Amino acid sequence: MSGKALDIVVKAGERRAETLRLKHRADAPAADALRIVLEPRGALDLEELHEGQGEFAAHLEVHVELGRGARMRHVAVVDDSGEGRIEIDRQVRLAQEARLRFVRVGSGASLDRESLRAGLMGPRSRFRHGHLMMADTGRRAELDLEIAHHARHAESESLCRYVLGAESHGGFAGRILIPPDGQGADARLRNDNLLLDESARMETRPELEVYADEVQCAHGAATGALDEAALFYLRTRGLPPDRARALLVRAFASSISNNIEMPRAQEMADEMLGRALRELAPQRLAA
Amino acid sequence: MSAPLLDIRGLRVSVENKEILSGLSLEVRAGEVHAIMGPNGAGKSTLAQTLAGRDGYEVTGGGVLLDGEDLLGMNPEERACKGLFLGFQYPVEIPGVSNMYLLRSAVNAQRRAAGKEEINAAAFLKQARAEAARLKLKPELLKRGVNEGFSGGEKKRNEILQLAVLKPRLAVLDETDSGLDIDALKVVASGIRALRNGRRAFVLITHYERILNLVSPDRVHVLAGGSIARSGGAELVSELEASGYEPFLREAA
Repeated sequence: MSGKALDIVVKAGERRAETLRLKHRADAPAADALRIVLEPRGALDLEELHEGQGEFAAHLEVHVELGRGARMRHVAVVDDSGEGRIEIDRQVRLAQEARLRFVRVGSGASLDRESLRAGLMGPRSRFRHGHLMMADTGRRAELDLEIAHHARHAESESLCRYVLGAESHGGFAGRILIPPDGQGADARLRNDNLLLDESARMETRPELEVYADEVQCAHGAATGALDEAALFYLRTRGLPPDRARALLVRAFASSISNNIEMPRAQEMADEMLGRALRELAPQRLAA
Repeated sequence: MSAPLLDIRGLRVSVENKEILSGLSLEVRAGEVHAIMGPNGAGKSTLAQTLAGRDGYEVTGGGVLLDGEDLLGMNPEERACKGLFLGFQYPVEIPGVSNMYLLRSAVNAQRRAAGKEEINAAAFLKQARAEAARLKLKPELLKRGVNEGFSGGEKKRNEILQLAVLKPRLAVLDETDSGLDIDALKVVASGIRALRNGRRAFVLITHYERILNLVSPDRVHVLAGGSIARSGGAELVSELEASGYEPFLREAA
């Protein structure tokens, strides 16, 4: 372990953009901890770009603290060439009227495990979250998510999507927690999963734990194969089956991958997506 | 007499081991518009889906030639590239794939199959927009996902838009008129009429007389009891409107 910590502090009212390139190697993971603090009304665009080579094992702790009225757009991309393991534990706290938009995409790691604890600590704070995992050929992707509304009139929205190819394994445990002080919460959680092969496995557990009244909550999950009717439709228009499948997978991923809004991260995510699409083996579809 | 563009001979089709078509024969020549009418469950959609190559439709006898080639031996995308177009009765929604992207991909897939170069994107955009305007489809709809949030009428007009852009040799339209109000029906009919020419043929599958008043068919067939029970000219339509399908069911039995 390198014992390396990276700190970013955005001063009150300051606007910044940062790009962190974290290159993980077998003998040297890039960093252990990332601490991000935004003082009131600070604004940060953060690109967190992970690349790996060989059999590395990286464990990263990320702490994000947004002060009153602070705004952050955060994109984390994990693009690995195949044998690495990455585990990221994130804790996020939002003060009053703070807003965080966090998009996380990943593909290629033999294990990509993330835990995310988001606390909406101040009234009218807002958390928007998108999570896209593409795994195939023996890889695993897991997310353990909890979004807690500890203050009034906070909003959260989380959309998590997995694309699983042959012999891959996905896990999603996502919880919306609304304790009694979370009155007027608006919380939405959705997990949709695409299985491209009979041998892909997905476990999904969306939960809702509500102790306040006057809340608007929705949570749900759906897991299935590519839409047969859509595939046929595309083929009747002349598209060969592998192109039609790739188009539908890309469409499924696009609801998250199209919302990145930061150029280097978007570029990296697009490349990762392109590679993942080429490698996914959509041959044996569930009947 | 020229060889037929579509030559269906004694076609037998089963779905889930139940025989739906039991020896259907039909010849459609280039330049012709044929109407296929018949009661619910007669097999009209089965015919359309079988021609397009949908899984689950088992051909147990007979054959189909498109321009002299064995159609049933081709997969769906090959049939499209040979010039077959199916207008779906229930067009599917495909969020995340834009209508414009589908149109361009389809045109290019078919051009590639014919050994041609891909189409110029800017020129195509202009052409597609012009066709959409003719079919009274707002330009924003082209940017949306395929049929995403489209009304029934918009979905059917979108099928005709694809027809206009792909310019197939044979268009099989499966109840493209169903569920349309009179204005949408007129737009769909004018789209079909605009594409009518000496090289192209249409098979209009329909329940109702309405569209056949706007697109006058050369031949009308009644599909009942698993095959064509009666064929005639356009006058057969009025006969059907007066008598209903019952007499033909008795004939077919």
